[in-house]
Amino acid sequence: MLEQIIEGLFLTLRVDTFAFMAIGLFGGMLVGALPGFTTLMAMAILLPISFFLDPVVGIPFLLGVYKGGIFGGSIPAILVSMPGTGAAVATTADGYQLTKKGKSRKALDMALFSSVFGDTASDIFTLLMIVPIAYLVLQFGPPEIFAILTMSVVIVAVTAGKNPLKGLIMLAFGLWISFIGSDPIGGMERFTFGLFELRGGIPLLPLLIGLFALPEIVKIVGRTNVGEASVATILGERLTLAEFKRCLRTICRSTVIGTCIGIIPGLGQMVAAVMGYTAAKNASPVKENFGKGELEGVAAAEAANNAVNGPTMVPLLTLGIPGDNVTAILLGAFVAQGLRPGPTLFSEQGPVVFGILIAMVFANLMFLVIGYLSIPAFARIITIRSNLLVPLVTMFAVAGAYVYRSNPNDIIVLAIFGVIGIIASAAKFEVMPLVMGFILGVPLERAFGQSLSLANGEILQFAIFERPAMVAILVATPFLAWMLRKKMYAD
Amino acid sequence: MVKKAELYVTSGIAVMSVLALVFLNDLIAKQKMIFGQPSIEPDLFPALTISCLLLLVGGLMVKIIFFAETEVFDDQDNEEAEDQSYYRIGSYFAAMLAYGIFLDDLGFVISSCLLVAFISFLLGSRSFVQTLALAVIAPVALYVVSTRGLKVHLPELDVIERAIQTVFQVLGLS
Amino acid sequence: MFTKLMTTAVVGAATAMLSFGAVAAGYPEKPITVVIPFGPGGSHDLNARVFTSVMPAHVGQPMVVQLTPGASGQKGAAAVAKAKADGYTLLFSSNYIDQLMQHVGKAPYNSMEDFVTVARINYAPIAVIVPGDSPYNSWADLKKDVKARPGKVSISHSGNWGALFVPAAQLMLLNDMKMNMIPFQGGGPALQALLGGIVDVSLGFPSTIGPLILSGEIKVLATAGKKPIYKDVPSFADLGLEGDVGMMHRMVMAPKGIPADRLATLRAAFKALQGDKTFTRLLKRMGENAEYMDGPEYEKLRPGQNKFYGELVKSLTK
Repeated sequence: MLEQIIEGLFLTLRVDTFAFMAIGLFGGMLVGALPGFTTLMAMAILLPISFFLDPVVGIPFLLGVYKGGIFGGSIPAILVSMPGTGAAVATTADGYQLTKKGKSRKALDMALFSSVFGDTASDIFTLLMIVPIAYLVLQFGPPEIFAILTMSVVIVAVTAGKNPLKGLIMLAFGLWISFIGSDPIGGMERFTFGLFELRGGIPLLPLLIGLFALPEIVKIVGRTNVGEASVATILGERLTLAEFKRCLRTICRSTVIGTCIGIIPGLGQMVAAVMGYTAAKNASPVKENFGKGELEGVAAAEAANNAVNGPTMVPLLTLGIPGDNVTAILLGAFVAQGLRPGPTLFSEQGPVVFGILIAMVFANLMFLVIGYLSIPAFARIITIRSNLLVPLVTMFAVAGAYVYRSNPNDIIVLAIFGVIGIIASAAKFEVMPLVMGFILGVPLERAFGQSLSLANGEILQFAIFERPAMVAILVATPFLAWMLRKKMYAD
Repeated sequence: MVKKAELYVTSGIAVMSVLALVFLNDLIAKQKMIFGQPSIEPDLFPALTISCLLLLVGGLMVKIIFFAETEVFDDQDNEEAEDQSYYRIGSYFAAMLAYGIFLDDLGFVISSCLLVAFISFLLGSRSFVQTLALAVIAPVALYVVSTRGLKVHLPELDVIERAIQTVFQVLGLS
Repeated sequence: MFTKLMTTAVVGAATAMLSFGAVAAGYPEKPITVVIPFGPGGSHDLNARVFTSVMPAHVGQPMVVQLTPGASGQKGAAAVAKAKADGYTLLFSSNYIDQLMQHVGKAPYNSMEDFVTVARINYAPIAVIVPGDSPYNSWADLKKDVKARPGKVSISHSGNWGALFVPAAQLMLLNDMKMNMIPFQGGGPALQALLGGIVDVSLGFPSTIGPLILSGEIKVLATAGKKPIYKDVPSFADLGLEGDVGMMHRMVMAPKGIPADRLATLRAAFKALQGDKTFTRLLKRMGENAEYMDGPEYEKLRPGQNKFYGELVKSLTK
């Protein structure tokens, strides 16, 4: 194996690999920064280019787009409170507050360093532990996934704000919104009022932009003296080593959380980011600062959502099963190169595959440099004066809402969720549980239905004897949530 | 102020939940039986969730009404809420809705151009030239990047699409 | 007043540029949009990326992929049905979306009246699979056990009325078998559930299960079609299942009103594509076949599919 790794290392040490990776990272970052244009879209578009490149050039190129894109997504989340994916929602919480305080560069730097740290650590861990992870992934069936999802949403709802009832209400409301459309098991219409337009459900992106960005934009729009002012006049200092060191504990904790969540199929980056954030808030001595511009909050969310990436590659590499859409595209890239992911991949194509994995680690390091150099340029955006920035941001918001499904009605959905966001903030309801409920509603219900089907009518017997882990997690949930809550809101 | 808003929101949700539960059968299509095997009904999970929601909302309402003061909030946000111009906020949303309605008919570039110019003037932009330049350049740039670079579809009038195509051909980029 | 002025200005400038460029009037003179009624990363997406990356050489214009997922594929289909029939909007569909979904629920379009086939790109035959350590070693083993314990043997599929569900339902119906069908979101998770021992049986396309067969993680019990695909594994025809069972066709369709000359241009381009070495090589590497079928020929299959799926849905949901 060591020989193969060394051979792989030499395969990647070529100029074009690094050149294409750099292009991919930078391009991915730019696309990720445009709301509505997801990394996934960018990868699908660039996939054909990788067909015509050498495997150790083409696949690292796509991976570069992916990694760049994830970080790119946190740029608008921090600067204009506009998360492009569920994964960036937790970053928005503190990132935008930092921007308003004139610390946007620090926030972006922190996002970059913690992303790269989380990603690299989980990549290396995955590389070393690929066999046990591959075994573990298969142990999670729908009942366990249902239990873990329930635990995550309940914990987040109960700990999100001062009033746990409000968090749970928003969670249930989010679940309700996720019901609109076709049900995930039978495909039957629900809450569509007979409108075909609603059959596909409520789109995620207009919901996110509406809930997070519009209330902030409207605050600026409504201000009587907006005129020539801008969101923040100063970009602030860059991140200092001392600040990074202060957050290192948080970053490590989030990396572990993210990696574990990455192993469980079907949870994904959003759960990781939110759980990492909650854990950091729980451990922090200055809990009340979270949500008001705490650097640790950005670090916790970003390290966690990037740490998911390593383990999600495992089912792809060892079984040839793509766990999500991103890995499905990577699968396409692999097979078009004549590399068939699966149990035989390492024995047949060892050096090339190790080469690709090593290139992944190099990509992370290279991205530190590229990101660090680009941040000042991005940060400058917020110094544009409001009567030019707001129209621009609005244009990106509506175009992003449209592009997601090519449906002009989604712009109306955007406006509706903008209003919901404003009402929620006026009545002091946290929107995070709503987003969690909305995003996880479909997988939660699917796992619920699958578990019921698997039980085949004998629910209690099935749960207790065949799936004791599910029962244990579900029973522990209320106690765990209550404990965390007590610790967080002790006063 | 906050308490009033809280009450409005909770009663709104409560009314919606009750209505949804009453009319659940009309709002959710019946599952088609497959092999006569009743797999999970599409209304099971929603019925559970909405019932929970109703209980929670009821609990919160009791708390708000009978246990007087809700939480004390720090005043950070309240400062920002000083005199907001509802006229401008209303116009902003109206512009967005109009954009959604006319996007397919006017095409991306023209609608975005109008939207950008409108919001910019709404926010008190005084420089006509600068605003106009932004309103033309930004949509065209985004359109070109989206459709050419990112290969995604945006609605556009044939005239403008052809014009852009022509420019590309003249520049030898197509 | 101001807005009107600006509209005039923009349109004026555009027309000026147009007349300056003096484009030739031949079709196609602008990029062609291909609507995929699925999300990114699925097999339709990957296949589309392959042909759209090679197509410009044959039609002289870029082909732009537009993903419009939702409502089991009906959303994308509805968008194309509504689009102008000028040959600039095409649909990359499957036989299930084309002919089956309309029997499940009301569709906002009529497949037979709204779409015409440009070309079938390829098809994917389904395979019945079990884990490597499964007690079932042949289709007969499975059938015997299912008949002995109706409703107890579980099978994972890709979601109701999806590409794995329909063949599973057809197999069960034709053989009078009853299994516990567990829906997953797509073929990947369905396969993972099989490997994790959560279900007993599953289905898969050869392009996704190839390496797992070689390593012995899974066994194939039967494959769709007339001829066997794997050595010593019977085809559906060998088992007495005739007809279009378990085949997913991937085809490019156009709105029905498309001018005849444009349809001819497109059909010729897709035909020419078959001689393109890059295209066939890429498809082969993806594990897909390049079993091209031209539009008129595929058109002949559609009425039969329509009738067949109509009966299938009726007998399944009674």
